[in-house]
Amino acid sequence: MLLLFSGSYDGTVDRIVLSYGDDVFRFNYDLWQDYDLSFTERGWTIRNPEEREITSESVTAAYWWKAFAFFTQDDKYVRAEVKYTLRDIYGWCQIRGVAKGNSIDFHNKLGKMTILGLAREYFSVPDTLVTFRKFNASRLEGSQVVAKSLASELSDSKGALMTTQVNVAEIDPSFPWYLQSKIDSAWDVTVFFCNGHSFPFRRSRVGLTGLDWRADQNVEMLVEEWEPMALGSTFANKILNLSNKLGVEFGRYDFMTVGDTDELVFLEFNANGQWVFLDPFDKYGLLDCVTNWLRSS
Amino acid sequence: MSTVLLITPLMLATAAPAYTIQAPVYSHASQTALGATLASSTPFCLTTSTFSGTQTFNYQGKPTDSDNDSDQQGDC
Repeated sequence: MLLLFSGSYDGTVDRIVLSYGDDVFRFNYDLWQDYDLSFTERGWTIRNPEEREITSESVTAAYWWKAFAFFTQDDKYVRAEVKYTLRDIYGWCQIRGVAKGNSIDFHNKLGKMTILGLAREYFSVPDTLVTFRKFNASRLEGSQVVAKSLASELSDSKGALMTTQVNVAEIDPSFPWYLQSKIDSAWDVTVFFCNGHSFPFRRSRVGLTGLDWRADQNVEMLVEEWEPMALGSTFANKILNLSNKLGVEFGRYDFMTVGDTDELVFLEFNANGQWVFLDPFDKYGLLDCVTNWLRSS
Repeated sequence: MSTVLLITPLMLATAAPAYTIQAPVYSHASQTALGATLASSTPFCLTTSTFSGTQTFNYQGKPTDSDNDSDQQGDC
């Protein structure tokens, strides 16, 4: 039985459950009080209110999907205890080789700059700098530069740093900065990778109000904003080789085209990247690929 | 002497999208949101939500901040 760690209003997991069939158990972190759970040194059992049960004996695969992106109203102490327990069960699955996908804290161990350095072997990458006190920032002065976020945390005032063009001479040295040469591009390209298969999609940058496509999405309509594209076997092999180097079977790679050419520049890898928005009507096989991968041993 | 105002990342940050909608009803029987099917999306899946906190992807899995695929977000 597949054990899914998630939250109760995640449509991605709804689709996985519907596609996977009956042999699945979904644990929603935000509804943790709904579940009976026991965990001893010999194993664990979880039961939902409908008497569906999964145990350390019946679990065949475990998949973690953004469970802690959901919220509970519990005291901080309680939240920490619940999270600790869930991480421990996931760890139990990891150490027995039944966990699928990338670890919960993948990017805490392997970050953007290290990945960019590995990607250089296969793809063009932009000049990029992470700097404290603007150390070595002079190398980017005079060129067009964008500021981005490394950790993607929201600020205390719930602000998110979208990709934003900056003048390096005007940035405050008392902050950490993640800076990258600006790429003038006609297309955003993203490649969903799962179980050895690459699914490349592109989205026109014409009409974007800013530099970051994430700020210009239609979130009120279920529409296809990305179109599938062909990138060829050589490109797919590069994705596969980089994935092997990163030790991943799943993720999403972001690129941009150089101008309106076919040349691609690698931007980043998202170990737990969203993918349903690329194929909202299940026309291109992403959901089937994920489901089959979760079923595979 | 004039003071130059330097730019900080916090000055560049913009508000994450937030819409107040009714949270979907979860069914432990189907283990999905009530009414969810593969063939058609449920009404609430069309909107970015914050529900009881800040969530940076919507029901369709559209990311809504600069890169929000971390599992360490939320109320960690």
